[in-house]
Amino acid sequence: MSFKVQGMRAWLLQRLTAIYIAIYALSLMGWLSYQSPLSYDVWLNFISHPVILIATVIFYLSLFIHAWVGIRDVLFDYAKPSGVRFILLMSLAFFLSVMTLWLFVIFVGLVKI
Amino acid sequence: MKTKYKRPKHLNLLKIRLPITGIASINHRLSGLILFLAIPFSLYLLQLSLSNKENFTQTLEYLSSPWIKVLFIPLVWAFAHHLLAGIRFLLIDLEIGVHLSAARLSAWIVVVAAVVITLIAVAGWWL
Repeated sequence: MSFKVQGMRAWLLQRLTAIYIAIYALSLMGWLSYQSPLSYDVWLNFISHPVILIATVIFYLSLFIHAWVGIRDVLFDYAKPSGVRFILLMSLAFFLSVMTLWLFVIFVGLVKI
Repeated sequence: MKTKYKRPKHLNLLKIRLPITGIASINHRLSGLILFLAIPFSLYLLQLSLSNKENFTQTLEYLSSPWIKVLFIPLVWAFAHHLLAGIRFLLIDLEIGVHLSAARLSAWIVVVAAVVITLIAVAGWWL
């Protein structure tokens, strides 16, 4: 993904990530309610399973892209002075980069197990 | 688009009467913002719950503490509203429910259903 997501591509990305996020979130909630009460071993084995692990990483990456496009659109509407908007967009990019790094720290730790 | 006449502006929040479709839309933004703010907490809880058995138990204790449940109320609303309003927008993209009467009805359904889901969740926790 290039840094500047332009009109049509942002529109499409927002919808594709939305569908994935919704399916993942609802499936996980369904699984969690089915597994209740959840034990540590079941939880760890579930998340560490290669398919679920990849699906979860894709979920978070979709969430970050979705948040980038969504918050960016909100900033375009409300943060009018270009300097303020630039700083806020940079903060958002920095924040989401840190979240991405954190995500990989969590999941690299899981793969070692 | 150039306009030579001065357009009327009603930015006084007390004077603006937002139609239900507008409320569904602004709530979509507000709920999106709340969910965005929840991202680091979800990663923290994910990391904590996976680190070891003691921390897993501690995560469950966190999640069942009364204060966290209070924080979860806006989160449940945000999730329910963002999901339902998102589905509504996707359907409108597919030209389903585009006409004003249908758009108004679906906006009502989304706004009310999100609140009802939140109330059901709250009732489920405390009753």
